[in-house]
Amino acid sequence: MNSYKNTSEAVLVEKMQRGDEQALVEIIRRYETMIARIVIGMLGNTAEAEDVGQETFLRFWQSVGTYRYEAKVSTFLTRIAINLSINELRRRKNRYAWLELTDDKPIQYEFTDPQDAFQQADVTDQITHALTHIQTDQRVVVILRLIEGYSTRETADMLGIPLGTVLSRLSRGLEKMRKILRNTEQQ
Amino acid sequence: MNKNQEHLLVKSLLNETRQAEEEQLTHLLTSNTHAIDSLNDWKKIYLLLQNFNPQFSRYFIKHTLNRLAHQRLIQQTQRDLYKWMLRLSMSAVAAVFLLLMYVIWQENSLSIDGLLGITNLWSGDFTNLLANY
Repeated sequence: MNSYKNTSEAVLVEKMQRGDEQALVEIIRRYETMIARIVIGMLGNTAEAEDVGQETFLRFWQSVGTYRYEAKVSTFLTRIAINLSINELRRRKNRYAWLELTDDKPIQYEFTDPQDAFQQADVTDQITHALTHIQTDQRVVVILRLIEGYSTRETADMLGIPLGTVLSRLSRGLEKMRKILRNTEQQ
Repeated sequence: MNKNQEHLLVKSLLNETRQAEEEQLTHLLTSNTHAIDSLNDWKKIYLLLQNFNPQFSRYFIKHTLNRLAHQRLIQQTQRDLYKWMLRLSMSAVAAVFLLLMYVIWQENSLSIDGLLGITNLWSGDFTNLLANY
């Protein structure tokens, strides 16, 4: 059924450039989880996140004709996903600008030991919640550096910011996440 | 904690501390309990983040392909509309051209009156037309 399972990325891109949709399907299969981590990390587990995820692959499909391997497919997709997520956050902010969307409810998550946490189904929810409550610029850096595993230099290059800024955003983001995750313990 | 100390802690978390920074880090961790607490919690968060594995719905690929098909349909409709508009405008240009040719052929000249078809009309025509009413 999946004839492109062992096909190299370069060949898949060539096939996409010739309009082969099955090659796109294979690219989606390979990178769906990565894009889900980025987009859901950025936007939370919402319907918009799935839309942005789909749009990421559609944009890649549309721009594949001009794709010249300057960046790996994963990096190219990551950039698209981050940009689209930021656009979506801006749209969301404008859409709800007239509403006060402050969540005064105390956070109901516990900061559990990771060993135990791995076994819990809601670890993803905890992290999503904490991630979506830190500033966007910090969130992007946390996702790229700590979740996707890009190096500090790659993260800085991708976002066009100095190394020191990456480190600052990481420390502030982590500190905020720490407070969010500890919130219940302190109450 | 100041900015340098924060950077030092993050570098430690990422195993990016240089030899020269190791001593500063040791000093920081022995003198600042808040730094130790932060670093320990950051390590736990980092571990959680590395296991962050959300999923899209199981129909993600199907939905993406549906959107692609929908986009294609829209593009095709736009192309068809453009072609139709182009054909329509070309027909209009051809009609205007034929009209001009006809006027020139009939009148041996090109004038506004000729175009409006009122070349041989004198003022009495209106009176004659209205005379029957």
